[in-house]
Amino acid sequence: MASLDLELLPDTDAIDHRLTQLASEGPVAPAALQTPLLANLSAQENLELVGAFHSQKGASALVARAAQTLANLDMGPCAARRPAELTDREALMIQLARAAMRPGALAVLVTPFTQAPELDSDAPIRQAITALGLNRLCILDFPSNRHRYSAVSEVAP
Amino acid sequence: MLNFLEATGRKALTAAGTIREMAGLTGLCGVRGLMPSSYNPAVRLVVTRQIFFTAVQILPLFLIVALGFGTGVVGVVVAGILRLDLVDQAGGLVVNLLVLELAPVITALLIGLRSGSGINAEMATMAQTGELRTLELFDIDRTIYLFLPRIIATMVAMALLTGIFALVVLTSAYVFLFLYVETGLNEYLNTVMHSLTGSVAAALLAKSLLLGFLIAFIPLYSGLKAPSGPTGIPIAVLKGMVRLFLAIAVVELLTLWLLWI
Repeated sequence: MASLDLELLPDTDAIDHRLTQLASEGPVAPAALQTPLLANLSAQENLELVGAFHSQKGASALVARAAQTLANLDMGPCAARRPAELTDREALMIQLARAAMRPGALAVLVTPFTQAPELDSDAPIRQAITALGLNRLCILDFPSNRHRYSAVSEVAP
Repeated sequence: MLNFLEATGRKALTAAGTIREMAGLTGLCGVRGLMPSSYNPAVRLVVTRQIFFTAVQILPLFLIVALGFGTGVVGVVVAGILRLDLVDQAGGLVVNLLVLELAPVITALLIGLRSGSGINAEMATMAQTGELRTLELFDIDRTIYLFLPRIIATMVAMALLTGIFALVVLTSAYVFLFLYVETGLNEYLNTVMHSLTGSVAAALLAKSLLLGFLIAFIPLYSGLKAPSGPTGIPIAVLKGMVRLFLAIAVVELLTLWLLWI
């Protein structure tokens, strides 16, 4: 079972600061508004980019891995779309998929309900985390969203 | 007066700092460029795309400009050759004036205005939207992913397009000479080949590659240094384009000085 740690922070500055702090402690793979998908790449190419810099795979193996990662989330149809053509929820899922392309890094999910306002609970996030096999995940969010989370361990920042 | 001196000194120090930073980044690009591990699939994809954007998409416009502008200048040069009775040296004059000087500069201006401004705006936008932070937090080296492929692609594009421009002006010059004084093709080719020595070809290639490097590097640097705020992108593009124009002028003056004085 993946470890899901929830850290509740008062404002955006505190969250930014915490994200920077986590990055200084070790490799991170953020899914955050502050770290958008690259606009001139398709969804799948965004995944391939991270894979290219954090694995020794060749081009075809990278393409296959990125496509498989998207397929695990049932996001295959979004593969060729640019970030501007994705819905907020799709963009959030692609960001999570991108995080999975950096093995060994701490995935940091930042304010998911701000990124995708149509989400009303963390169920889709937990499903995505399971599908992607993310073992270490830290969620940074505002206290006002505490009631939307279930089955996470709240930790002090 | 004191204020003027202070302002001048401040600007000189800022300019010196910028040049020093650019030199450091150039060195870093050189080091990264020599590492085979830098050329991962993502970087190769950017190289391919950038060559397409810079060298292929521009071709129709480029050929029109090369034919129109090149032929116009060739006409003036040929008229001068005839007036000064220098027909026997026509090939040499065409090579030295048009191929070595005009072709790289016109090509550099066209690529700079089109791809240079595009690269500059792209980088400034990445800085504004937080995409640079994405690269930083995912530990993706900017020098490798942003600088290297665009510089390589622009250098390749610059060399290829300069070659095409040179071929167009050499052909135009022959057509003019044939029409006005019925110069034979063999005679013309002999004088051209006599002037187009190995050192001239090497100088042309070196000049094209240097201009190609600057056309990519200066907009990349200026874009990454875009100030934050809504006017950040136009300011970055403005600064980048002015710097690029100055750099092209300096390269042109330097090559004129090195080759002719």
